[in-house]
Amino acid sequence: MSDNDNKEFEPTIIGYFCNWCTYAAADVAGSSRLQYPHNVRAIRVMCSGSVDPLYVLRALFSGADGVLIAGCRPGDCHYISGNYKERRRILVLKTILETLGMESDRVWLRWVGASESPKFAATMNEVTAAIKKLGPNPIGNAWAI
Amino acid sequence: MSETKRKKGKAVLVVGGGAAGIRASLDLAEMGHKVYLCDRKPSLGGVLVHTDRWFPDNHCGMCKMLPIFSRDDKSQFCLRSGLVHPNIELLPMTEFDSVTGEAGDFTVTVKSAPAGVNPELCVGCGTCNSVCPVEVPDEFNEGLSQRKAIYLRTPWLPSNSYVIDWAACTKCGECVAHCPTKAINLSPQGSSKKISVGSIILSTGIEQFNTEAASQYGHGRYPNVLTSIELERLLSQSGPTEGVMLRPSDKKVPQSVAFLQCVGSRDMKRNYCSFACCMYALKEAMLIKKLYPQVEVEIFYMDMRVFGKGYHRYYEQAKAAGIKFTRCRVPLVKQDFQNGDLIITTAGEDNSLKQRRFNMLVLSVGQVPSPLFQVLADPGGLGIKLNQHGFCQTGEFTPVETSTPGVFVCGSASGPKNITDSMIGASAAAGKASHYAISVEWPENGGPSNGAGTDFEIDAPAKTAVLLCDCGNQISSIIDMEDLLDASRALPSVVYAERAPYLCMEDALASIRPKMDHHGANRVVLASCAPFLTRRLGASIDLDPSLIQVVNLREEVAWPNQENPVAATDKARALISMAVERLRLQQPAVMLHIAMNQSALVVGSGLAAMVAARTISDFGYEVHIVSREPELGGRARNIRTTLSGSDVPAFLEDLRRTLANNPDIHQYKGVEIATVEGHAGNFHVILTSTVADPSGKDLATSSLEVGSIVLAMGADELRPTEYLYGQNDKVITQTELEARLNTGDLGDVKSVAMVQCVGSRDEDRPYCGRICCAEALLNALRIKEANPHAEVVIFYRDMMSYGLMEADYKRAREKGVLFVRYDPERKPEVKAEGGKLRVTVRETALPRNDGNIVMEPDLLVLSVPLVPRDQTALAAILGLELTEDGFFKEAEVKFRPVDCVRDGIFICGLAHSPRGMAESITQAQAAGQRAASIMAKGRLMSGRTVSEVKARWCAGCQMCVDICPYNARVMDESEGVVMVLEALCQGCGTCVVSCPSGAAGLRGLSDKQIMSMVDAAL
Repeated sequence: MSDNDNKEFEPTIIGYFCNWCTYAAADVAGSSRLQYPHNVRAIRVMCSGSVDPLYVLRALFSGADGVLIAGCRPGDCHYISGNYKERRRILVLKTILETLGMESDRVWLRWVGASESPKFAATMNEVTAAIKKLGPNPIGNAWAI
Repeated sequence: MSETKRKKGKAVLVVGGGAAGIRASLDLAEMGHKVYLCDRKPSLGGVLVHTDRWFPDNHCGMCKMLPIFSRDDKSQFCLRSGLVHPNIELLPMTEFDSVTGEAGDFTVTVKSAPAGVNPELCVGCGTCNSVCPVEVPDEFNEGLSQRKAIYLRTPWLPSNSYVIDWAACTKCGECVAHCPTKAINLSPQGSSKKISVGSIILSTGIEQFNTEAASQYGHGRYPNVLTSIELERLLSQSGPTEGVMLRPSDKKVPQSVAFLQCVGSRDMKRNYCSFACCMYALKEAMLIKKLYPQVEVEIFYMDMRVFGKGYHRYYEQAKAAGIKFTRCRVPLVKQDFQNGDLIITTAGEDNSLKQRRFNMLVLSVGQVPSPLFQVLADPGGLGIKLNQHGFCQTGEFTPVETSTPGVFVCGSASGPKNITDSMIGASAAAGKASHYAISVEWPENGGPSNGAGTDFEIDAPAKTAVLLCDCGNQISSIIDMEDLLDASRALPSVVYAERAPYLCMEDALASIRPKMDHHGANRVVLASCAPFLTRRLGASIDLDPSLIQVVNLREEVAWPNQENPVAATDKARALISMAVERLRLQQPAVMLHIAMNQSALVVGSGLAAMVAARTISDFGYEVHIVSREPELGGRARNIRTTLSGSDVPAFLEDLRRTLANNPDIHQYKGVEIATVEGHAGNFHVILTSTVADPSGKDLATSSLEVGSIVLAMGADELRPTEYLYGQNDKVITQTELEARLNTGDLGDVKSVAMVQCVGSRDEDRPYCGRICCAEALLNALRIKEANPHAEVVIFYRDMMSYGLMEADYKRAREKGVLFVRYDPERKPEVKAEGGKLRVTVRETALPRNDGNIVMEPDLLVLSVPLVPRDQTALAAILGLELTEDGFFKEAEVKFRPVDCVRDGIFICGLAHSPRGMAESITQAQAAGQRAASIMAKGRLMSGRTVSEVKARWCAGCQMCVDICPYNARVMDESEGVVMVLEALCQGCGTCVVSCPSGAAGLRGLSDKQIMSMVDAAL
């Protein structure tokens, strides 16, 4: 990303989207021409439950301004319970981040079902606005190689 | 008929692509049959795509229908986005026209509606839609929103191209002029096509009741009277209000909503119950309560038919959520023209009349037979027999067979059903239809069109081609494609990058592989659109799919950023760079498989076990029937006849003889299962005799090797502890009454009282016995038949005469059987006085006698539920869970009702839940089909994305073993490390996260790939 001080801060957010629900919602949001911010760079994973907290940390340490994990609604997981497992992991991760004095609100977990394209667009808006408010990820600069 | 004599066709035709049709097609396709799946609509899914969540758990789970094994050839995305299977040929907008021939050799003519938009050329850009001047109500949203005359049937674009509504189209030609790919033709010809099939499955479903025939409810006149499907759309995020429940008249959230049940069913014209409406009304009511806790929700019903597995609990949850229930059939709806509110008059059970006002009304509309049945019934065509209600006629023992050999039926085509029962019928029908069609050969690599194999060396350095699609100008008008080309060329491992106006056109696709070879590329990034993924366009590239990455430039980047081309280009650059990185570290897939033992174990001795065993052996596989009991037959031995008058003993005897005479069926009586080891394809089962060896030695044991297991254990009638049972010989159970009726020693009985729900639907057993109302009706009718003057009174809570059984309920009333409802809070009181029984029941509608009915019957018959035997031990042996009520838990309540979570194990009959005879037979046929299906290929193939173990790092802690939902990870005791059963692994990756040492990995999406994608994104 080219940094231009004159422009409004545009965060870069890493998205881990579940293949079954959230990705389907993203497709419908696109084909319905819903307009939402460009800041989330999505990685399609089979299940939100496959998102290792390390992937989240890695993204933050590498300079991502935020991380959004999105999967099926509770109970809807294609793999039965992956989303529940992820919910517990992210809860723990956020606690650890707070303990370390890091900003846990750069990490987001949301459920977006396949028929919830408006919610998908709303989530993108919500996350982007929140991360914008937080400003650039301080770790990104400190850890830049 | 023997397997060798039977004629076999090349394929199977499935008519109707709703839930049942999809299930039947998938089951057949997985057995290796070629399937034509036709539907008159442009997209699949029937009523499913109109709804988001289903009872009794309010979840979505359509995708769980998709096959578990060799999954990579098939859809690996939400089923709303379409269905892809190499063995299934979809025929959208196509109707059954006529048929000649016979079972095993049908020639069917199917007629396709004129396709104004050529799906091969339509890229889904939507330009036509934006220029179309015509607006009409959108049927996807039940007319609650508008659409154009050229439109998408569902919002899930990849599933279908645009279609033209000829009734609305004015042929103005705007769309033709603007279509960038010249895909539109406004004067196309319909086409017809002859297909040669061995068998036909009718899964045509039903029509929703047309509310014009019930004008008293005001639907169509009063804007705030909705049908249940309309409400589904209002509650759906993909609906007209984006999931906000706004009543149509003033677009405000209604503060009170009433549901009226049985609209279009259980009336003089439609003498059947629509099966699913009570439950979907409960579901919709619960969804409203969850979204809007302050909204008052009330359901006006005749009987709450909560007969299925877990349904009564759901009903109790609904009550606890504050939903009100009033037993009253509402005769008339009026509208307050001032504010659009609806006014109904209700009669209380105490005969009081009340006027009630609601902001919105929902009609729980019934199911009516499809008009297509009249075509199918044409003696010149299929000539199938219809029943009195206009549904396909089936038999009690042949529940998925029509009157025409080789033609099978499932779903609501044979009478109203819900999704679960449609799924069960579909698998059963698929099993039957399978015998009339040859199966295609399974090549060594596992599937008929497995894509190209590994034609690149593993570890060869990645050389990636990046192909950018302009999509006409859909992508290129937003994203700076030249910038993207330059950026792509500069990426490590990229050997060439190119633009194409349309990557999806046949010639463009065909040139990809030759060009890659020319440049020496061994991986390719297709920067294009979502349909590339879901229509599996990449499959035509002749390249291992693992080496293809699709970047969704259109739906993910260009379309959502139409005002921001610079940012869109930035994002596109990042996404392409991520895809290139992912491929750079991607190795060609190695497909692994597990060899299969082609024999099955059936546990149980009852009807379900016998039917399941016969179903499996019909496929030519060896079957072992294992039961504790000394003989086969189970509870069915006590049954003489059924409500439809079937001869049960004859059926049972025939079944028993077939099983006994088949040398491939082995019966083990008086034994039980001691241990089960292994997994789908290779179960190692040890049996122990339940009879101690008289010599005092250890119990005799034997062992079996099987590929799949069917659980079909029975259940027992509850021994009641209420109503003087066991203390007074005039108090008996329905089964005991049945036995007396069978032997004819009922005696001189002039008056019989029956009490329903004894020991069920209460705190101890919060489930409905499902069959007790049918049993009561049957026995009441038999008493009336023997002695028309006998008085028979049935004290009930809700008559569960669901589906077509409603006609029997009516027949019983016509024969003079009296039905009196009792309140579970005030159960009937039974006293024995001077050799007489005295039954007192409160009936609030009666003014006399303080509202009490007093009866002195000669017999008091208790309708008790079936209770599951204690299966805790067996469940532990099998690694399965039981429900709170003690029945075996299925993998998914709606879409996988006979599968267990542990692959290779299937459930049917009373092991699953109480079910009637025809229902148990259907379910046993379904379980048998599913069990045979996984054996059909002789091996289980893995997918491309599977987990792996780096043995050096594995400490053997087994956290991954515990967390794997599919039992795909097992401890290799000899090596002290965990190993993966690749064929069982579904590639979800949760084990990778659980591994504390980094030994678990996901081949196809490794940690390293993710990390480098993250770096590329930043």
